[in-house]
Amino acid sequence: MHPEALRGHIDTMVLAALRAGPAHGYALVRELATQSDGVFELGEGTVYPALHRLEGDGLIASTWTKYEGRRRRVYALTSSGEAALDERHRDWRSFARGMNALLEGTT
Amino acid sequence: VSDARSPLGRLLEDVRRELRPLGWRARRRALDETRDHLLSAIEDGISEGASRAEAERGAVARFGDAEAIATRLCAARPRRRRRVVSAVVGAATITGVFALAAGPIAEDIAPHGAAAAATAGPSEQGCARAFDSSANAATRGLIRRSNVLRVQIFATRVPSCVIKFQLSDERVLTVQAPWVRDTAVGFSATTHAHGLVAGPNAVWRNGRLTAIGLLSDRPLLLGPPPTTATCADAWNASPPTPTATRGRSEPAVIRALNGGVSIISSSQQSINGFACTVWIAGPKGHATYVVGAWEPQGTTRWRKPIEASGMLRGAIPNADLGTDGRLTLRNLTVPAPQVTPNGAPPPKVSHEIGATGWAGGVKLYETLAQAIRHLGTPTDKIPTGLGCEISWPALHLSGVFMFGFVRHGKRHQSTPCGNTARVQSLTVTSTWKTDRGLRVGAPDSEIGRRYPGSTQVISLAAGSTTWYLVPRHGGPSGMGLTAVSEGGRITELTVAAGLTTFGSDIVPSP
Repeated sequence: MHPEALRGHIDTMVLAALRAGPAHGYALVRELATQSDGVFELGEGTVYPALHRLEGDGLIASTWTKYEGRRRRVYALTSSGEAALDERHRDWRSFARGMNALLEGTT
Repeated sequence: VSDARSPLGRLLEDVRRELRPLGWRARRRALDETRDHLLSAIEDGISEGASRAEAERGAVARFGDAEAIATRLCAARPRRRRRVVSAVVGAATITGVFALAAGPIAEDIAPHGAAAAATAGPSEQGCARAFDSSANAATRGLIRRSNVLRVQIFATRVPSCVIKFQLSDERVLTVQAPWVRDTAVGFSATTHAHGLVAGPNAVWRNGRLTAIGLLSDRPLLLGPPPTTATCADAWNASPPTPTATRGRSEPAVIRALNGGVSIISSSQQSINGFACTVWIAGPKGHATYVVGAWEPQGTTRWRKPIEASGMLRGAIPNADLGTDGRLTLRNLTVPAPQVTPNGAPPPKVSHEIGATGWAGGVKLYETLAQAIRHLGTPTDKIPTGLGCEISWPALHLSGVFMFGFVRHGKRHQSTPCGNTARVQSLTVTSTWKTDRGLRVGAPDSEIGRRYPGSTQVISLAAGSTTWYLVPRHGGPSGMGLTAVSEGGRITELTVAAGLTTFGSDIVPSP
């Protein structure tokens, strides 16, 4: 999928991936690629601005861990994040329903 | 870690330069995250067979444009909670320094029951109270979002509090903080390792920790470790909920996990325990797994982990999951042995094994093809579910190999017995010796002389004793160089890598 098409959805994708459990940035990128069967292959660095932004908004929280002698930041969904993800999921379903109806009506 | 002229060094320098508008703390955080990401990607690339240079170029290319990312990072600077983040970073820094000073946790954990009452330091109850204080709210918040099964508190001699939380996906989250002025503040997560907490001595409920002292003065009796067959029996006697298995007829991989039960000092405290995992293969190679902590009575409580999806491509199923939810063991056939041609002399192999991860010229994580170049053609290959036991009897050497790794959605086709499988442990007998001169056949008394820091481990087999000669720094129990002795003499030496699971992957900790 074209990166531009993904840009507006990165926050939602990150929240959805974190619903499976706490993860660090690299694991998140892998998870997004694996779970989407390679469809969502982001510029990997783009996930970090999204993580920092979501943390600033209180939707995720993070803490440092140590791995093989280096510092690793692990992120987890907050309760506000879960609520936001539910809301975005509802919006997405509504959008997809409308878009499907439109596309199917024109073909 | 990186040469300034290398692609990695240049990218980090670009990010550092572009992040100047941020304060040093935010800049350091972004740089540390970027570095960790790139090093992880490079490690993955190498484990998939790329050269270091190729892996580095690929990781940098996939990461994206430094300037664009730095600009977005500056724009994404947290607008709220900045004070909390700073506090967490500060606490992590303090604890990180402490952890470095303390060295491997296992070496510093000591019992704090009656025997240690005279020394200044925390008690298990004191650690629980300290952890519950408002000063540790950030770390507690992280734990609250995890599915905690068991908790074990260690009040250590350092003095410090170490608390291990058994999560539902076969991982242990460890938090620790120094004990200062009768309290411990600044707990932070320091390790997120593969394993199990076998000796719970505290209860975590509604975000509060209560020490219940189960291990204070009584030994923990674990009973015999599980096997593939007993794991299957436990499953069939008390299967998990249908949602965990979906009730479909699919092949499964049963793994009996020996979590490396260890005695610390002379106390009967154990760190890790046993578990069974059952991986259920699905369409397209995707798999889910269910884990059950092994109870002394040979029962389990099955749980579907949080991060339970993954790939099992290359693993050899050793059971079938029927539509009735029962597991039936397969009778695994042993492939025809590949015998060294008559007359071909075995290659010259130095019969030495080293704690840094090698034996007879073979290094841990090398492929079977590379091992064959050093050792010649193996005689036996026995698949064991996720692994394959491959042996060279003429050399008195055997190894456990694991299937290839799954990265970025790519499916690797290797099997545990294939040429691209990677060696996870090497065991030698007979004529071998360590690089410090400890020979197979030497008396136990020689162990302390050659390896003064060695520790004895609970015996899993009657009549034998296991010793950790050189534990792998920072790794789970069982990593590094171990010796087994019977009748007071060393019978075998093993050097082993550690495996940590994260999400869908099995990741080596080189």
